[in-house]
Amino acid sequence: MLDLDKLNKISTPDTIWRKDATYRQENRDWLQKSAKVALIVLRALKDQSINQKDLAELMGVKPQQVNKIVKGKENLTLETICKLENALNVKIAEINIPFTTEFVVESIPTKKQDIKHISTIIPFKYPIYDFELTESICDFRDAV
Amino acid sequence: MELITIFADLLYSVKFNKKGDHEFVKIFNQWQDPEMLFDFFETNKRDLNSGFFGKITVEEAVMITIDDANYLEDLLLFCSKNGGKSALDIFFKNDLYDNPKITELVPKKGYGKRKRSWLRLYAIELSKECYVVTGGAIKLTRTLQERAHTKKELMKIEKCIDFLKENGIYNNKGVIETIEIQ
Repeated sequence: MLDLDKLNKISTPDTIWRKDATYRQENRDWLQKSAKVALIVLRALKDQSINQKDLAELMGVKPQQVNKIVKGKENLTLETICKLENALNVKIAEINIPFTTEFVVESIPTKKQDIKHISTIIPFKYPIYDFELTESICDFRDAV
Repeated sequence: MELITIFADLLYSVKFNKKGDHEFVKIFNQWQDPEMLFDFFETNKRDLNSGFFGKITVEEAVMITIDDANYLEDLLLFCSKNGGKSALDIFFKNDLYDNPKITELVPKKGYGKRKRSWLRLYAIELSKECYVVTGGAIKLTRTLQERAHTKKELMKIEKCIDFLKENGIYNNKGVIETIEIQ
């Protein structure tokens, strides 16, 4: 017969796994993306025969940060992503905006030293969609 | 060697070295570490592409492993919060070998999320609702003996059985059974 008292007497409670598992569960979305970034970096390192220390130097960061990245534990900033992309000459993240337009931001210096940014739409053209526009976009197009 | 309680009376883990983490922590850390998994699948690329798992890249294998590990960890967390005895029994349900040759050590296996999952948790069954996890592995070959990293798991099971026997821990039938989940 299994003696549970005896079993519990010779065992000590876990203090790590439950905490780690809960953290992983609560942060799953970005951890999964971070793992994918890690894989892009690892493949590039392997293909280009670069080690993590070299990459840290190229990026101007500490080797510990690179190690955290390849372990998929780094909650990456856009700045770090750009540094990785430039150092390894790879594409990691592309941010897609809904549509492309000829939207120009002009900088006009004033007499004072401050710079004023004025947005000018010249001329506004809608891209060709191969799907139906939503009602709100159609309304906006009519307004233009 | 040290025994660690994951859920009292239900699930235990083993710490083989005084300094390191216990097996449960180690397994789930490894199975969710892209660097470790990338290196592992690169080293074992031939086994990965032997045909059993279909055509699969190293990157895909890593993400599948992380996803599978998440599933197992979620299930275990659920058990820890809800006292999921039945969930644990579903976890560890089948015999590992078709015809166990020895009666004192009857290996078992259970099925996880994916039909052809390569993740394995190895456990010793103390009763229908009480298990001691001795380790885990990514099994890409048919038998444990074929690769060093899986063969090592058999040794860990043996070591743990000896430890339990030394401490007078036997299961309901007076024997110790080992289990493999996949």
